[in-house]
This record gives sequence, C-alpha cells and structure tokens, in this order.
Amino acid sequence: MARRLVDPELSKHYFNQEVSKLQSLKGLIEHHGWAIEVDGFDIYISMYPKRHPEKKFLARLRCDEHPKRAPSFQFLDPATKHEGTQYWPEGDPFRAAISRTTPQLCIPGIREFHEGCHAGDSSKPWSSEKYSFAKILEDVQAELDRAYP
Amino acid sequence: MSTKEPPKVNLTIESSSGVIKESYSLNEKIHAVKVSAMAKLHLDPSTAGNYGLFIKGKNEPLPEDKTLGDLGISDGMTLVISPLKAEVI
Repeated sequence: MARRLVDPELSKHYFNQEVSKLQSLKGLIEHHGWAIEVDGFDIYISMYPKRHPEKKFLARLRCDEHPKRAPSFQFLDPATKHEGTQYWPEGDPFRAAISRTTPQLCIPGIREFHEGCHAGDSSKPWSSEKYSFAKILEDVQAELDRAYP
Repeated sequence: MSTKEPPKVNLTIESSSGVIKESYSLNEKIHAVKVSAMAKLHLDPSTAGNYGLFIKGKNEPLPEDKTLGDLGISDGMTLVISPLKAEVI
C-alpha cells in the first residue's frame, strides 16, 4: 500500500485554502475565460486558446497530498473526463508531453515535472508557495495561446 | 508658480499572485506600470519581459512604450499581468 505523505484532513484544509485563493482571482479567471469546478482533490478547468475560443480543452489538476506533492496535470475528454492523449492540444510542450510513456508536461509546478521528467533536478524544487494553482494554470494558458496563434 | 499634477487613474491590477489597487499618472508608460505592479505583487521584476499587461479580457498585451493616457485607460479599469510564455524545460 502506498505511503501517505500528508494527513488527508490537513491536506484538504490546505487544498481548500489554495482553491479559495484561486477562486478569489476573479479578474484573472474572467480574463482567461476559465470555468472551474472542484471535486474532492481534483480541480477541473475548462480552458481555450485566447484567439480560438471554439477550441475547448478540459484540464485537471489532481491535488492529492497537497501541499507535499505538486498537483498532477492532465487534459481530459471534456464529455467523459477520461484521460487520453487525443484530448491534448497541439503545440510543442503538449506534443512533447504525450510523446512520453505517460503524459508528462514539463512545466515547473506540475507533479509530472518534479516527479517525472525532472525528478532529482534540485534547481527547481516543488514549492506550494512558489507554484500556486493560478500560476500553474497561467503557464499552461500561455502555452495554449502560443500553440494556437 | 504652481505646478499642475498630471491626472491620475485608480486601477485594479491582478496576477496569479494576487490583486492590487493603485493610483497611476496617465503619463506613466505601460512598462513602468507593469514593473511597479509586479514588485507589489511579489513577481520578480527582472522577469518583466516574460509578462504582458493586458486589459482584462483582451487578447493582446498593451504596447509598453505607450502611456496609460495614450491608450485611453480610464479610472476603475482592471488590468491583468499574465505570462507570455511558460517556463517549459
């Protein structure tokens, strides 16, 4: 059985705090057109490239064991919320992510970066203070906007 | 002789690290507003080139060599500081 790093109740407390911080950034959420839904330790974010609002993507931050572990990031089928590489956007970092055995987006702040493609890279340690949920989502949004100019 | 202060606007500036409400002169250039707001929002101003200052909901960052007045920024508007590129490694 996998060892738990954080007491689930404590984790939920910190998670809720971080979600509240994200949801308080109403101008930012409106600016990017994000629709945010929280279910347990999962945050679902409906997002689209700024110049192509017709291209909808559903992102999920899975934040179990927050704040000890970085949130895991995946794009999902917007209808079923199933994982699959076919639901990932175009663009270099996204194509690179799905070329790996399991999708690993190499952006600091994401679990797949800290525990996957850059595990052991001490120059970019995971920090819940440095990599807020909003910061992670904005970095993904910036790459989404660049992928669909 | 009296010197007349340039008109000011009260702006809300939002980023992933929080929200500030500040008053700026309409003569202030966008770059200066962005860097000053970044410092207040605890975003490293030395990384200012990675960020743009946007009118909320607009697709293009404001041109940095123009002033708030040049661009018709008015009192009460919300601006957003947002990254132009992620740190992809």
